[in-house]
Amino acid sequence: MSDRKRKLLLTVLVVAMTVGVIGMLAGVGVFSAFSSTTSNDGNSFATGTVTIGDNDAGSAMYSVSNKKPNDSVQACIKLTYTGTLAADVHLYTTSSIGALGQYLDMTVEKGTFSGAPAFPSCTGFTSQATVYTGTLANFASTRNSFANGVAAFPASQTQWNQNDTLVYRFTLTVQDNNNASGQTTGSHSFTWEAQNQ
Amino acid sequence: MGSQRRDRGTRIARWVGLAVGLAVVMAALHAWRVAPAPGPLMGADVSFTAGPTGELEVSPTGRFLSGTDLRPSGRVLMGTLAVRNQTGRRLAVQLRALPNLDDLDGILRVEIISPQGVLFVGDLGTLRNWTSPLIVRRGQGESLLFRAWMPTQTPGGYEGDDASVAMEFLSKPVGG
Repeated sequence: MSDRKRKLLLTVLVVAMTVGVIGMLAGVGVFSAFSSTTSNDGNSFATGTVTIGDNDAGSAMYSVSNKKPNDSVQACIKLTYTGTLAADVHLYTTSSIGALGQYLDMTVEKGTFSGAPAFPSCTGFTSQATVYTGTLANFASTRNSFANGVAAFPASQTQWNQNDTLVYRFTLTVQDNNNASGQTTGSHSFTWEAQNQ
Repeated sequence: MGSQRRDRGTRIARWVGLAVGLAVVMAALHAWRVAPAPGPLMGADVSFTAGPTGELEVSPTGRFLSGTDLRPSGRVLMGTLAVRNQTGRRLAVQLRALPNLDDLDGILRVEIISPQGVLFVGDLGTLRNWTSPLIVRRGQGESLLFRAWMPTQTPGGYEGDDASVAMEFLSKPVGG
């Protein structure tokens, strides 16, 4: 091989090696640089719900007339809590009660159904506790807001959780009092209000 | 003349060296490249849930249909949901879906069948609207069969999704 050819070959090799070494150093630098990252992903914020319903489908628990002393009416309503937040549920009324209210004894019990009766039947009701005893008029005057409403929880719980149910049995009895004759309570409503704890 | 030829030869040698050097670098970088992980894409995980309302008791409470790795294979997920009218009136019950994501809206097909007929058939997005009503007599129950699948012609967009579909009920008293 002539000197000239050797020189050219050497040039090729020197350039190739220079480019190769620089390129590889850059590549190695890219692939092997020490690196560290940390991240905090998937952030979101959502609120829960407070939702309660009953099985009355718009019907009254009781609507009776022409009752006499010691006659009773019994009706049950089933409450279902579907909210996602733990809650308290209080029972109260904001209705005005007519003159018969003071002669109408009312008992409210909480409990469960062993079967599956349709509203407002109490067939299969098992009482867990009595949550109110008194006259309907007294209930209206002392239990007229969430703050003073009757609190009740399913079984021995201290909060309502999602899909909890509780049955309330109302028993109303006409007192044997002549002043009750010919009177009416008027239309009234009961309210169950749930508030998150 | 001889000097010109030498310069030209040197220039060519430099270019050849550059080309060779670049080729070596390219080959090395290609060899070091991290290959993508092999294996098929992930399917979608799907679950349907339901809870009671004041008017309706449902069974089971919570998840009643679920499946993992669902793909456009024609595989059908099935689940049964029993609803019972616990009011004293006949109810018209409608359902709608509240999915936690919208990726599967146009992909997942859903069918809801009751003993009274097909309540709904269509994609999940359409099920965000209320279905046809199901009449449930007072104190009575109805069993609903849910079917969910991805048609075989489904394009992508479902891979790795974890869809939870909550069913919501609307009950209205009808007749006596």
